[in-house]
Amino acid sequence: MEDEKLKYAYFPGCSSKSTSVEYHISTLRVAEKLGIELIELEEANCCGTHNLEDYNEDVWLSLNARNMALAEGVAASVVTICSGCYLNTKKAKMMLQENGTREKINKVLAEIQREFRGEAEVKHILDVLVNDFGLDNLEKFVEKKLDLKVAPYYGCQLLRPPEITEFDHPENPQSFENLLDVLGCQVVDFSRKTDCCGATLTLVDEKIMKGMVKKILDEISKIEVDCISTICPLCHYALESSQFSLNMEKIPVLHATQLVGLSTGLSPVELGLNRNLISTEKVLKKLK
Amino acid sequence: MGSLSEKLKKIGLETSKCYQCGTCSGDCPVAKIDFSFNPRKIVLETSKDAWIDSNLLWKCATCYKCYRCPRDVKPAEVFSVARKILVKEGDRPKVGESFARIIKKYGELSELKLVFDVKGFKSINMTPPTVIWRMFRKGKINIRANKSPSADEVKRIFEIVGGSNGR
Ligand code: SF4
Ligand code: SF4
Repeated sequence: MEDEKLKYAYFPGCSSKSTSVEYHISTLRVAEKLGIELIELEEANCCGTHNLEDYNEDVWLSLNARNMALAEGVAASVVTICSGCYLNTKKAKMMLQENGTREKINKVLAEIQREFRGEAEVKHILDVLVNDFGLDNLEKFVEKKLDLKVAPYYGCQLLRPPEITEFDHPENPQSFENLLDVLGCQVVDFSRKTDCCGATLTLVDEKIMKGMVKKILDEISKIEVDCISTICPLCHYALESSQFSLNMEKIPVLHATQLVGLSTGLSPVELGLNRNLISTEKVLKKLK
Repeated sequence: MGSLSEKLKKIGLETSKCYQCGTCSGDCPVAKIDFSFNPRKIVLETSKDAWIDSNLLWKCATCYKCYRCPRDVKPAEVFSVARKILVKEGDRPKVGESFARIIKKYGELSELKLVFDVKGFKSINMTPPTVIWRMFRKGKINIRANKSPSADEVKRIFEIVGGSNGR
């Protein structure tokens, strides 16, 4: 670890430029602080989500193959901060191993002078922090124990389907809890931590989406936490914005990287805490 | 051609393996809110090659809670492939079409453009004004009509591949 710096191609995804700009910023700052090198793939394209997959599979495969091709020249692994990007890239990678599929898609990529070789490993930032960097290592960087009661919300696409995501237990994962534990947080377990926030249905059927996210928020509001923490920009947006439409008492929602940053001595502004939709003041006050 | 169930079988998805236990429906968060969406029933209908409403298939949130199917039917995958097959047969679901259109044009998604493309002026009612105002103030609404640096290559990919929204 000491002698070899961790290095990744970094695919921040579309929300890093809009709804989740502070997730992207805090990821960069935290990586810098911990000495993890992230090389941003500025030319990356959208992962397409399952919407594009089902609408035009070959385009979706080509787009994800293109992203991975960009990463191949840069580092051994590509890291995403979005669970949607994570599942889509990994699923495409798996499908591209199939006989004939890779050849077919590489013919498309050849026309734009790219080639998918299938060499880049696809990772999620939580995996990088907990397993690659390691919690023992992280502990050495913790300057401030966070005296906060936190509900870690995983959502779905980092965990399922397990044969593709290959990360932790699909319904009772512990990585996020372990991470928060090192930061000094009091972690609460709640039954809906791996439920789906419904974000993928926002444009299909808003009523279903609202119903899904309400169940999660209802449970969390009963356990009275200082904040919720998320590891996906879509979950983050769903959990934040829905608190306004549901007219409930606001619970701050922090990206996992924002909590890591706060405990490793980064300032709230560096971590974009002023850009969360729900004020993070309550959390910061408690930490003073 | 072949029937839906035959096409699914060809790629290893056998809906006839389903023994109607209902585990998928019990685990499915969408089914708990919208009773018209019942994975167990949709799997059954698929195995019988009954007509399936594409709108229903697009209500699946792709959360894969149904992964625990004891017969390894993979309901979420079945629905995904069924959506693909219907699109190939000419179905043009609004959301899929909008995703394709926006990505083809910009190389990436802008939530704002996407919401507007799908919902038109109704999109104004979708988000509470406080949320829109906060997003605007915090620089989260990407109003520039910028293309991503990937845009030209992405457009080429759509053109080379063809198919839905390809040309
Ligand atoms: S869980 Fe599997 S076997 Fe049971 S009803 Fe659903 S698809 Fe059929
Ligand atoms: S993937 Fe679709 S069918 Fe399966 S549990 Fe989730 S919403 Fe229900």
